[in-house]
Amino acid sequence: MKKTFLSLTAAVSAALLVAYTNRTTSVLSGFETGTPEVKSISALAFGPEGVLFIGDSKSASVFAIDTKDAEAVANAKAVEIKNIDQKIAALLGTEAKNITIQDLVVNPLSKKVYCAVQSGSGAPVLLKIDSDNIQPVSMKDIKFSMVALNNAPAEDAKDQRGRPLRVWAISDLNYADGKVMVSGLSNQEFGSTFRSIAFPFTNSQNQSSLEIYHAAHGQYETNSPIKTFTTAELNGKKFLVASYTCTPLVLFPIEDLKTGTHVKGRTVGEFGAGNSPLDIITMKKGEESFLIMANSDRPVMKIKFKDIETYQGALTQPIKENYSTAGVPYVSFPMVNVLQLDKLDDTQFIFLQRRANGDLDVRTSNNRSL
Amino acid sequence: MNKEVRISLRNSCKLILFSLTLFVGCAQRQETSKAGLSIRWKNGQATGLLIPLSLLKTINRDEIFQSVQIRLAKPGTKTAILGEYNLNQDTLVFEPLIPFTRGLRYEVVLEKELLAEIEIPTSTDIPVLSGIYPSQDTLPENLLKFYFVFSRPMVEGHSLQYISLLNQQGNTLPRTFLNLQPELWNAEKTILTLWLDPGRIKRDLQPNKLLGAPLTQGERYKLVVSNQWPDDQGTTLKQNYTKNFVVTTRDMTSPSTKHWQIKAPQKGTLHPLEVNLKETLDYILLQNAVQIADAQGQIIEGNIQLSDEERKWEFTPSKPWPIGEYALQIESRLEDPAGNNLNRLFDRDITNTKETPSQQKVFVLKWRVN
Repeated sequence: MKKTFLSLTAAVSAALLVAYTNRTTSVLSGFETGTPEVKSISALAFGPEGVLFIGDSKSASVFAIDTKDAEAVANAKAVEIKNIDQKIAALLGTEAKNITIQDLVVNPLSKKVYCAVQSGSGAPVLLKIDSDNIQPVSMKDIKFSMVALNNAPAEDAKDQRGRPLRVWAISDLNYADGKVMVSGLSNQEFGSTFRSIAFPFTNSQNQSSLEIYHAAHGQYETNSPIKTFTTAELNGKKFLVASYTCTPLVLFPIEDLKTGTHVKGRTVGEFGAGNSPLDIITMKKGEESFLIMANSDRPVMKIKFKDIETYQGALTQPIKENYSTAGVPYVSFPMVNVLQLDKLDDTQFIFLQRRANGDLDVRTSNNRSL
Repeated sequence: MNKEVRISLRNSCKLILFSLTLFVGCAQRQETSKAGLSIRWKNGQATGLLIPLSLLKTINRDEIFQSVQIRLAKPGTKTAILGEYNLNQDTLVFEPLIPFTRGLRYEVVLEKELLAEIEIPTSTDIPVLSGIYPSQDTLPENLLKFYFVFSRPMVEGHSLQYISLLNQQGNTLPRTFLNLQPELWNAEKTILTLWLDPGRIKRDLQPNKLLGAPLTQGERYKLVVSNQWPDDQGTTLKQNYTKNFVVTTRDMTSPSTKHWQIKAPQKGTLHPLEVNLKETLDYILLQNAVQIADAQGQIIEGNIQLSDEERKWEFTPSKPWPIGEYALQIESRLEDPAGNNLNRLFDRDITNTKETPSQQKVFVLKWRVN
């Protein structure tokens, strides 16, 4: 009997311990309740437990909000919304020309689509799209946490009166392995900032900022700003895969991204003239992983991880043939003018596309196209 | 400041001005209802619509929220605008998610019946483009960026629709500017930073090899800003603006403070310190990356003026100059119009080992007030 009692006590203790551990390990445990003062929404990214990260350039902060939308759904229904800009404009009581769809992301748990809209008047709006139902995400009395980007405009704010302050426009935001990574572009010097911030956010800010360089053909080195990025595991090692305002695709080992370091990346691809990368995601089909990249002046491209892994060069030779590209091979999808991408589920991704007739539609690409 | 304008509808264009007199464009569609809607204003934006309950008198108070819709008065639009309704003693207050757009008409609909319409008056504060920088009319072939300075906050996200670069023959040149989202605006949305495509400027990158630099030495260009560009209240620019310039050789020299000439002011005066920079430098960085400290390291308060096409930097102190030694502190991020900063060129030839970039953060020039 005593033995049974002891076993029972042990079991209860273990259960309590598990419950306690679960409770304390929730990323939401440090969140406060209130109304975050989001001044702009430049980029969005989902983290664990339905947490949505909002990159706010105007207040130089990243907000983490609890969407309470954390019920997991394995497979999502394809999302097809025609004229999304006009639909959103009508809901906001304005015309499509007065709004910009800043980002479009999928909650990896619920597979619902979240959309950041900037209006002409400056007010940012966060919308949740469920099939063809578009609803605002309220910011009133929600659970949230925030972190100010170190050395962002605050460092200039103490500067003399009347001077134009520097703004780091957040160009992309991603979450991976307990870290929020933010890339930003300066509105003054031709420079960028890249920060890796531990999440959950702590008071002692665990941020690393670094200078990232890439070399073109082994000869010219610049610290051009990152436009969009993602993370990938290549040959068992974690990499930051970044695409620059001047198009090259560059790899950086994540372990090298340490505060104050001058990190030089390996350029693995150049994807054409007059082109700017807009968005990158990673997808998988069977055992094969890919990067899917949307571009301003080229079709959507698929690049196999396997090709990046086996490509050991660093584009040390200038490209000889005009109108060719260089580095890792890629496949162009018959998809042009794609502005935003995100993974919907294991077999599908959504994209925001400006059609030939001028319409702006949200569409879904299926497994076949991968 | 809250301004309220009351508009009596369905009463032949009769405007009753309440609180402050504002010019309100006479509604073209004349309404006959005696019901008065009024607009709630905040910082020049229409943030609410006040609907007298007398207009809705046939409806039970409890049913109002389900029965009333506010929507854009546009043929075919049946979408209710997102926002919050609040019921007061005698008024239903509707606050849209984003402010109403000036110049647009809105409808109050009760169970499919159109009760009233109201037009949000356009603003009488017409925005002007007060400057395009660099202000020189001779620019280097590798020019990196333009700044556009406006008198009022402008609408963000669509700038490239309103800016074009024309060649000598009057043809618009495609792919000259980098299409960035988010665009690089200052926090007040009055200064836009626009980059020429950096991929086309950087030597040996594909865009540069294929399309060449965006600008060609010896050619004349015309930069045109369209009068269709709206400010954040929807009021378009006063006029078209143009900047004519001719392109000269590539600027392949980092700016140097060694050649700067300082003309010190006299003691006890408010005369400006004059610095001759010997070349045109970045309009915004000259106001942001240069400051003066006294012998104790205290930053001197005052105002910066730029003249002679950003070749002359003047500083007028807030208090008369005491005798003593001063330091002009220049951050290394100060750039010339081609993006070369004090430490390095925009694209550095790393095979040239003689020119190692300096790591100095701040350059200091000492001077005295006697």
